[in-house]
Amino acid sequence: MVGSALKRLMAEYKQLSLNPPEGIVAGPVNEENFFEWEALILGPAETPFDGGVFKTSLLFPTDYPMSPPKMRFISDMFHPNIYPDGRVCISILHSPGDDPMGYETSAERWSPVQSIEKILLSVMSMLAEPNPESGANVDASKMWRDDREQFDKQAERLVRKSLDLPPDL
Amino acid sequence: MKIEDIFAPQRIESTLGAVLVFVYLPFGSLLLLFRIFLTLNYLCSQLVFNSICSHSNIIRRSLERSILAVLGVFVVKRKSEIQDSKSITVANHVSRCDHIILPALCNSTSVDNCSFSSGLKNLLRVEPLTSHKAEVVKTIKSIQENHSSVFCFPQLLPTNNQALIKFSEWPFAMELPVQPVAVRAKRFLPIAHSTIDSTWWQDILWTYFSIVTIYDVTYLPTVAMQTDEDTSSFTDRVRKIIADELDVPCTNYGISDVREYLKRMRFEARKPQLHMSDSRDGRTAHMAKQVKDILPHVPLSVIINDVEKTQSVDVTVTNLLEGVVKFVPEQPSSPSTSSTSPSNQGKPNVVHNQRSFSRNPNLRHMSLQERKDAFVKQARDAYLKKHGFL
Repeated sequence: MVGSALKRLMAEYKQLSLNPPEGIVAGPVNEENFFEWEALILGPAETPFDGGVFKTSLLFPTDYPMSPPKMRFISDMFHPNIYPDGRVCISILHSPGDDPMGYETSAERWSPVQSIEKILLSVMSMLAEPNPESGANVDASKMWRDDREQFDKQAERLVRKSLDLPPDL
Repeated sequence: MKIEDIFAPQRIESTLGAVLVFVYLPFGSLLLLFRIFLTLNYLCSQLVFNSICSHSNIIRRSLERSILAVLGVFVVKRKSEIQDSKSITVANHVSRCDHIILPALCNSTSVDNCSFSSGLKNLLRVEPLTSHKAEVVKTIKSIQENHSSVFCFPQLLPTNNQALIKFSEWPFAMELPVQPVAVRAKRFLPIAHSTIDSTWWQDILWTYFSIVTIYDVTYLPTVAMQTDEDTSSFTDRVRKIIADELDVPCTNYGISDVREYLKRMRFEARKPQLHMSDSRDGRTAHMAKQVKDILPHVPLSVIINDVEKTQSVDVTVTNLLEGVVKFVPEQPSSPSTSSTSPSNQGKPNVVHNQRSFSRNPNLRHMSLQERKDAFVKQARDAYLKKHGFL
């Protein structure tokens, strides 16, 4: 099982290196352990996160791709669908079995036909279009709904922080 | 009467029979071995006899009989032989070695299209039969000139003596009188003389294995074809005569029905194997699915082909990933994973295409790190430029 997981991860790594999707760089943190990845995601243009490079970590189970990886943001985030501790609440990362929110159709869930690239692209589009209904961060959800200006400012700060730029430039 | 009732499906049918045969097995095996060697001697002696005297020589006949007796074959002849040497002897068929046993005991030559080699046929006095009537007539004539009678088994297949199947018509079309013979065979052990799909050598070996096999041969009065009869009704008449003597019914089954039944039977016997191969296919399908789960972009047909060869999920995955097995990637019919990639138009190109994927992990990692650094740097520059700091 570990062998298959490793081979599949290797294949995906190769694929992502040779044909990287726009705005994404991903690979194992070190080559000793293929089950722990780091991915950089560029904040989508014309969104509050425009231009930021957000660092995420992906932890793969030994039975990957049967089970989805665990993903969390290492960079500080303020987003309705990202828990304050960085965990991402997105349907593609949930197995069809578990449905913590009870609103996802199994078609959107994790299955072996999904891939790391698809996860990262989904997260990217999640950054662009938050889903306020699955509030992983209540404060962010509320602010996104009620005070968009404030939310944008908050996001702008995070973008600068992700780029190692001082907040007051 | 059903067709399966005419033949013994197995050599030993009842449980009691199986027990008896099992108890007898050690003795029977020794007997079998001894008789096989004796048969070799017998065949050699036939070779010698063939060169010094004819088949009807009295010394030779008595010697043959005694050897056959030691081989466990006895013949009880009833009623005097009707001395019409120009007739064809027609008998019912009880085992596939009838061609060999009966002519030897009855001073006759059997004709049959059976599958012995020609040398063996000469030794065993079995004449081959062709489909040309003229040649058959010639064969019969030459046999009769040697003061031997022609012995044939128009049933073509041995039955279990519970009924007679239709006779082949060729012996009755020779315009010769026919000598009907009713043959019964008896054994002390419940071992069938032949089964529906036995071969002649199997029948012989089982005969050797049994202590004795007694052939009860009854010669019936010679019959000739009557003027108002055609061949088929003459055939039926002779069959009826033999059936009456044996006290068994005549059936409407012919040789082709039996062959059809045999084919069907063999097909059914093969069915369990088909199921087995089904389960093998099921295992292959299961493994193929596992591979497909890991590598969804590989066409299933390619996976199945390779899994059948490797019989291993891991090996197939490796083959596919390392390009040992070539394939055209297919677009996986993925469920709606929002590939609505956000519009990055107007953004500087932050894609760092890696031209090659190094086999060396260190180089690979270095390049990943470089790409990350360049990625961040490019994003930072783009940000500063956009906001007018550069």
